[in-house]
Amino acid sequence: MNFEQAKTLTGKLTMHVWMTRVLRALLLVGIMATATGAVFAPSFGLEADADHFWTMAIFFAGSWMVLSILGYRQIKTANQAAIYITTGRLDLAETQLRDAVLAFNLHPRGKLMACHNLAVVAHNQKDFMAAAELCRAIVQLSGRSLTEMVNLCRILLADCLLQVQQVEAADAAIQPLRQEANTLSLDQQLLLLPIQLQCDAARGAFQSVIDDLPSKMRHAEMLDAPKAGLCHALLAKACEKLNRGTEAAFLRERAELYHDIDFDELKIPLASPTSN
Amino acid sequence: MTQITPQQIDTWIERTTPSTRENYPVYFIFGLFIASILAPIVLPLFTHAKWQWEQLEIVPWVLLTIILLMSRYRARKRQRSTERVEQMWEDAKLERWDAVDAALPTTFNHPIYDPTLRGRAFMIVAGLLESRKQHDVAGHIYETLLRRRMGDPLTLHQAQLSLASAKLRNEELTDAVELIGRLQKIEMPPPLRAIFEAVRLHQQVFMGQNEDAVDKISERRDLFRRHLSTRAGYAYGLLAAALHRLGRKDEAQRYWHDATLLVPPAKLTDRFELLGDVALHYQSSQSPL
Repeated sequence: MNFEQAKTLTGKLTMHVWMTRVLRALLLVGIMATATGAVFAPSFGLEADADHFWTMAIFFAGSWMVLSILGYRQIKTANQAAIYITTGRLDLAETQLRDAVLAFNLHPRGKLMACHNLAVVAHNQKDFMAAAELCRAIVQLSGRSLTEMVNLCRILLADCLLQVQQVEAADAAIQPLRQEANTLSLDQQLLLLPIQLQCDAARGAFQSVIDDLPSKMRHAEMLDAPKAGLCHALLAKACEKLNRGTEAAFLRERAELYHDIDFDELKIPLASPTSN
Repeated sequence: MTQITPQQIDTWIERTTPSTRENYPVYFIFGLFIASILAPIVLPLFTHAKWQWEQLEIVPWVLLTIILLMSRYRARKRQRSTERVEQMWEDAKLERWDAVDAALPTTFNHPIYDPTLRGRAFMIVAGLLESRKQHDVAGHIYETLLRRRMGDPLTLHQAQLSLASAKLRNEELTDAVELIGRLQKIEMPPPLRAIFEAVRLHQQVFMGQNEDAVDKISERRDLFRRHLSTRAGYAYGLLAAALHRLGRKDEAQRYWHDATLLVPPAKLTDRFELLGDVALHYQSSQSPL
């Protein structure tokens, strides 16, 4: 999937989400109005109309239930595609998820979940701009009930933007997460850490990189080897910049033990520590 | 501190199993709901009389409301069970074993609906028991998980590897060697292969097979480094022990230094008592933090 395809897809997704929101509102209003009509019509001498109201109310409620059950299948598809992603069958996952994103669903949740998984596929295929476009759409379209998915999308979006050297945009994407850092789950904190350190280091905010150093080191220890290595390397660089030689040497040695790190390729600009 | 015995584990397994009977009231009310909708349409076809349902028209709505309320209650119950296990998982990852211990009665006296989560919850209890050196009870958990096929394939693979390790620590050497031999023949993804190699390394060092332990040492080291992240420190410690016993002191010092760079010496010796001897002979890495 390339950026253009992702843009077309998100355009359609946005339209679908708004259409389903309108349809949902219409169905809900229909159920309430016809049910109220069925109950109160006899009081106004409209006994014959009460039957029609009743039939319509049943029709609206039935439609709601059938459409919800059909939508559940889409959530199942999104989950099944996640298994394809885990097993590396990205082609299969992409085909299935594209269909799921464009299929009709009364509840946008299923569509957005499929779109999130599609963004993960695009990220794994190194189509970072496409993945970023999909993540942006999810962040814009999700309501308050999908906080966890939005958080994951923000982290994924920031990662994609870092890959294409858009540091400021990446930093802006994770800004809301920094403010709510204490409410994030441990898994989300672990995903956020390397991104946050890269953004801070790239901005030259080295003091911010090493704030609460023991806790950051503890979290970095829980990451897989390449990410743990990267975090330690960034922490070591920040310590170096702030003239904390002993810590820098210790962290650098650890970083090398985790992974083969090219310390010159950490993409940290030569900003002075005072720029904080 | 909660006393955990094999009987307690069996009780928790029964209590966390979701009962199929929980669904019966929902099915019953849903059946009534469908019947209350169909009755006004179907019955006149058989009785050739207009169905006098004006007084009963409220029934489907009442039933629908009950269904919605019950669905909401059940969804909330499932969510709470998921949240409890996830919180325990976080505490276990951060080695806050007191918090895990405190959460045991609440978590394991209610059904855990997601089978993957249920398997994971019992793996957390096993982790707690390992931290208390109750390897026999931990072994009972792994055996139960494998026997009942509780959890996803990854959890079951991990349970197999942990069972081999627990048997080793319980000094059930014949069983441990047999299990390790069986696991060696199984195709595994590289991260699990790395865990398996660490268990096998422990077995070799424990049984004094030091030559075997350091055979292909650089291949093993690469595997540990790539897939075990910080836990590679424990494997380096075991390699240092094997090298020490073979009299290869310089290499042992290097491996011990790397091991203690990743994991504090106290934690290394707490997890593997046989490393106590190594810790006395070699200089550990000092953390300035």
